[in-house]
Amino acid sequence: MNKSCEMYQMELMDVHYGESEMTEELRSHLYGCEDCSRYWEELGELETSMVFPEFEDPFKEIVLGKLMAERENKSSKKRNALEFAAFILLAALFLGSCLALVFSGHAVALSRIYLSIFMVSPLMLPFLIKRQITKGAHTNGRA
Amino acid sequence: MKEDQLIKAAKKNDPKALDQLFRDSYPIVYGYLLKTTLNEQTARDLTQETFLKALNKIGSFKAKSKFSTWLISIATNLHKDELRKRSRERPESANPAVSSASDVEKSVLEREAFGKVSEILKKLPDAKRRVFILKHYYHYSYEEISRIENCPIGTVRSRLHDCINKIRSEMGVEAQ
Repeated sequence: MNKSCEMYQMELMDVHYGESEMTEELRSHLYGCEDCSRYWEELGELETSMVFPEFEDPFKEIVLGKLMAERENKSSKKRNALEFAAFILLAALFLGSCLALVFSGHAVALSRIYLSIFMVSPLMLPFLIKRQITKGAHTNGRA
Repeated sequence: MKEDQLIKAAKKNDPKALDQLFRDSYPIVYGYLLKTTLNEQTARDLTQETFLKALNKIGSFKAKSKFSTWLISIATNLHKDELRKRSRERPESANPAVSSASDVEKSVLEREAFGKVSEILKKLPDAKRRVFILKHYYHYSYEEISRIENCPIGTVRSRLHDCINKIRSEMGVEAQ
């Protein structure tokens, strides 16, 4: 096979795979060259001889399930990070305002507020317990 | 829902859109990797890695190409990485991803006439095999393949031509 045949065969390959159009020059070479004519014929045969059927992966659902779990995990991590950042911000604001009140001479008033919070908060306990129980029942119901 | 709408929704972290996109693209990515690696387990692992990477980078997808083309590019890079990793681990093996066939693989890859095709594909070098698969089975243009493979169009053409000649000679040997 000479050099020009190799070039013609690459052009035939382009035509076969729809990358270019068949030219007159190529067509006339094809009729006159046995090697290239066989190459062209065998290119056509590849369509039937190199068939590779598409298989359904039997583990597809498992793989997709893992991916969705990963996505859920990722978004819950993001949510947790945001919640943590919000908590830090609120805590800093709260402490900052407490310090500001102390330095501006309202320490006594502040300690009174604290004391009343400590006195009142145990009264909230039954409500908190009831809320926890209701939340637990909801979660179990969904599961 | 159309693909572009699904992508927009998936970028906004919509789980249903993401699930639909992955479900639609799964056969393409898995089929491509199965033909490329000729090993079911490796194909499955790489498919999972491909989607995991896509999940993390979907925000950077520009929609200049089809979503499946983007996934194929990711899969190709992961396959290259896998080959590099395995050749570092076992430098004596010329084509490790293919030669480490498991029993599970045999169940699918050696079925009747299909076994002959996989035998021929196995004999092609990895980079050339990928080009042949992308062109012959998935009908990507030379330009798209050159972008996926990150090589010039001339290299794509010569790799494809080499593959065809190799396949022709293998077919000729089998016919004799």
